[in-house]
Amino acid sequence: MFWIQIVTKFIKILRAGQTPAQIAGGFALGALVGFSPSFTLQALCIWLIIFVLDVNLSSAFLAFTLCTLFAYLLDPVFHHFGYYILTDIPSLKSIWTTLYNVPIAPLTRFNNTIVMGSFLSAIILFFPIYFGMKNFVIAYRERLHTKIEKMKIYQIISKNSLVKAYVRMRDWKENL
Amino acid sequence: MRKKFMFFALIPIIILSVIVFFFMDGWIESGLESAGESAVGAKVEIDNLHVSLSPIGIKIEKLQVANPQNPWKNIFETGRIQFALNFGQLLRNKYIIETMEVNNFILGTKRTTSGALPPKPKPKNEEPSFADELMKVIEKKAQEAPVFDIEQIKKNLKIDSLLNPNNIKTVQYYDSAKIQIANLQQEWESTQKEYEKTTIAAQEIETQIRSINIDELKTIDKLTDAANTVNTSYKKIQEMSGSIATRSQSVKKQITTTETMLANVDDIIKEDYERIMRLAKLPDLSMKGISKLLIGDKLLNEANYYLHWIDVGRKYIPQSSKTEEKKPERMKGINIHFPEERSYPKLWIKKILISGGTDKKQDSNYIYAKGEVKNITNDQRITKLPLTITLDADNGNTMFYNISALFDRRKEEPFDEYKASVKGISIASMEIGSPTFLPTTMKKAKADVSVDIAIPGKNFDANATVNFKEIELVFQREVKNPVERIVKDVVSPINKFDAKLRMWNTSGNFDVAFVTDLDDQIAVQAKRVLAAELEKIRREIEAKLNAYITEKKQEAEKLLNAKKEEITKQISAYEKTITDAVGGTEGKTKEIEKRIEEEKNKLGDDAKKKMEDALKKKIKI
Repeated sequence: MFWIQIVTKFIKILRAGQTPAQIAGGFALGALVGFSPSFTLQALCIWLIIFVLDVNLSSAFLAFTLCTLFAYLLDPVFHHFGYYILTDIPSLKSIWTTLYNVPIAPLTRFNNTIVMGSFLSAIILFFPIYFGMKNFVIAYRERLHTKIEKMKIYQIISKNSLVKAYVRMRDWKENL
Repeated sequence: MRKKFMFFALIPIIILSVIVFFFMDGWIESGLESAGESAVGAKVEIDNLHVSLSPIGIKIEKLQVANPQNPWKNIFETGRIQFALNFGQLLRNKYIIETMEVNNFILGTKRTTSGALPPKPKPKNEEPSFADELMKVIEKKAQEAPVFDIEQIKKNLKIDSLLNPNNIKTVQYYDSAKIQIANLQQEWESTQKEYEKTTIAAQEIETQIRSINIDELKTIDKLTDAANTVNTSYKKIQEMSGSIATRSQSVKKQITTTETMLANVDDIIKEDYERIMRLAKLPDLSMKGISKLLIGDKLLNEANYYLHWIDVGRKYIPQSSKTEEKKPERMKGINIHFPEERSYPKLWIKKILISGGTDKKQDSNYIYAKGEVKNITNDQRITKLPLTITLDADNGNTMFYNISALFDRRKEEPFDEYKASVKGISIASMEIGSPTFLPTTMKKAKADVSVDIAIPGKNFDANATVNFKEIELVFQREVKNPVERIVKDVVSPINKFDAKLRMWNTSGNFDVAFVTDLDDQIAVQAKRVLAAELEKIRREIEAKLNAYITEKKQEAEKLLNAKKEEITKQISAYEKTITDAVGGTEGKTKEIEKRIEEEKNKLGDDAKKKMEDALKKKIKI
C-alpha cells in the first residue's frame, strides 16, 4: 500500500504541486542512494539531505526503488568499474591508502568494488537524471498529461473498482 | 528546508538517543555479566557500570567473579575498574584499550550468596583436560599404593593364585611351542608319505638296473640302449635324492626353529617375574613409596586444583586467526585492502594494571599484590605479541610471591608457560599421611615453593619444588606396624625436607613422579628391619614361579626331543635307501662304461663315434 501511495502521489505531483526542480532533485538523490548496494555512511548522508532539503519525497522513494532493482542487473558492471578505479589507476592509490587509514572510512565501505563502482556511476548519472527528469516533468505538464488521460489503459485502470476504493479511502483520510 | 522533518524525525531521534544513553549502562552491564558467566561457569556481578562518551570508555565500581568450584567464594573481586576505548578503531568495530586500571583486586573473598549457575551438560566429545588426566593418575596411583605391614602382606599373599596361567606369559609361550611341535608332526607325516613313495620308486629303479646282465649285451645297439636306460634311471634317482634332501632340510629347519624358540625364553621369564612381583604389591625396599604416601598425594591434590585453572587458560584464550582470508561471494564485490599504518585485531587490551591482594577480612596475614597483564587479544598473529601476566606480592616482610604466565597463540601450536615462586608460606595445619598409613598433622611449618609449567600444544610438563622447613609434626595415633614405626622414627626428628613433583605427558601418557630427600633416610632404616623378611617372600615367589615354568619347559623340551629323534632316525633310513639306489646305479654305469671301452677297441671308427655320443650323453648328466 505504501508503494501504491508513493506512485499515486508521484503521478499526482507530475500534474501539479511541487516544482519540476523539486521533483527532479528528489528523483536524482533517490537514484543516488538506490544504486548503492548496502547501508553506508554516504547513503545515510544522502537520506539526511533528502529529508532536510525540500525535494519531493515520493519521487525520491520511487527512484530509490527503481534504481535498487535496476542495480542488481548492473552489479557486474559496477564491480568492474569499481575494481578499475580502486586498483588500476596508480595515481589514486595513495588517496585510497590515506582514506583507508582514516577512522571513519570503514563506515563508507569505499574499498568494496561494487560500492565504489555504483557510487561513482550514480554521481556521474546525477546531473543527467536531474535534468532529464526536470525536462520530463515540464513536458508532462505541458503536453503528455492530456494524451495519457485519453489512453485506454489509463481509463481502464482509473475505473477499476480496487483503485476507486483506494481513492475513496484516501480522500476520506485526507478529509479527516 | 523541510521544517516538519525537524519535528517528526530529528527530535524523535534525539529523544531516542537520550533514552539509549540513559539505559545503555544497564544493557552493557547485563551483557558483560552474561558473557562472563558463560566463560567462567559461575556468577559474574558488575556494580555501577558507567559508560562515558568523551573519551569513550567504561568505569565499573565493583566486579565479582564467583568460583565455579566453590560458589560461596569469589575467584576474585575488584574495586574500581576503568578504561578508555580507541574511538577510531571502535568505528572499525574493533575494541582497542591502551591501559585498563583494576584497583583492589582481591582473591578468594567470601560471598553472601551462592555464585553457582544451573549445571550445563558436558559436551560428550570434549578432549580430556589436564586436570582430568591428572585425576585418573591419582586414582590409579591410589590403587597401586603399597602396603607396608609385613604380617598383612604375608596373610594376603596367595602365591598359587598369582601363578595363574593368565598372568604368566612363559606358559603361554610354551603352549604355543607345543602347537608348533604338533604342526611339525603333521608336516612330517605328509613328508613321510612322499618319502615312502620315493624310496619304493628308487628301489624299483635300482632293481631294474641291477637286472641288466652286461655279458648278454653283445651288439653295439644293445650296449647303446642299455647306456640310455641307465642314464635315464640315474637322472630320475638324482631328482628323487634332491627332492628328499630339500624336504629333509625343511623339516630340520623347523626343528631348529622350535629348539631356538624354547631356548630364547629368558626375557619372557624375566617379564613374568616382574609382573608377578607387581601383582604381589611388595613394598619397594628403597621405600620411595613412603614419602609419597606421607606427602605426595596431598601435593598432587593441590596440583589438581591449580590444573583446573590451566585448563581454563587453554580453553578461553583463543587461537589466532588463519592468515589466509576468505574470498567474498560473487556479486557482493571484492574488498580491496590497502596498506594499513597499523592493523588491529577485534579486541586488544594492551595493558591492565592490577593492584590488590587477599581478603583482609578473612586473612590477618593480608597479602598485597600488584602486577600487569599485557596484550589480551582475540588474535595474537595481528598484535604479534603473546599474552603475558606478571604479578608480585608480599605480606609485608615474611612472604614473597612472584608469578608470571605466558600464553602464546601466534603459531599453529599453542604454547602456555607458568612460573611461580613463593617464599615463606606459613603452614598452620596440613594433614599428611593417609588414614591407613601414619595419619599425621603438620602443625606448623614454612615452605618455599617454585613451580615451572610448560604446555606446548597437547603436551604438558610441570615441575614443582617445595622446601619445607621449621616443621612440627603431630602423629594422630600410635604406630600399627614396623614400617610406620620406622617412618615415625625417621620423620620425628626432621625439621626440614625437600619434595619435588613432576607431572608430564610428553611421551604420550600422563604421568607423575614424586621424590623427596626423606626417601633415602627412610630406606636405610627400612632395609635394616624389613629387607630379610621381604627378601624371603620374594624368593618364595621366585622359586614357585621357576618350578612352575621349569615343569612347562621340560614338557615342551621332552616332546620336541622325542619328535626330533624319531624324525632324524627316519630321515637317515630314507636317505640311506636313496644313497644305496644311487650307488647301485653308479656301479652299473661303470660296468657298462668298461664294457663299451672293450668294444671300442674291437670295432671301427664309425662305431666308436656312435658309442662316444652315447657316452657323452651320460657325462652331461
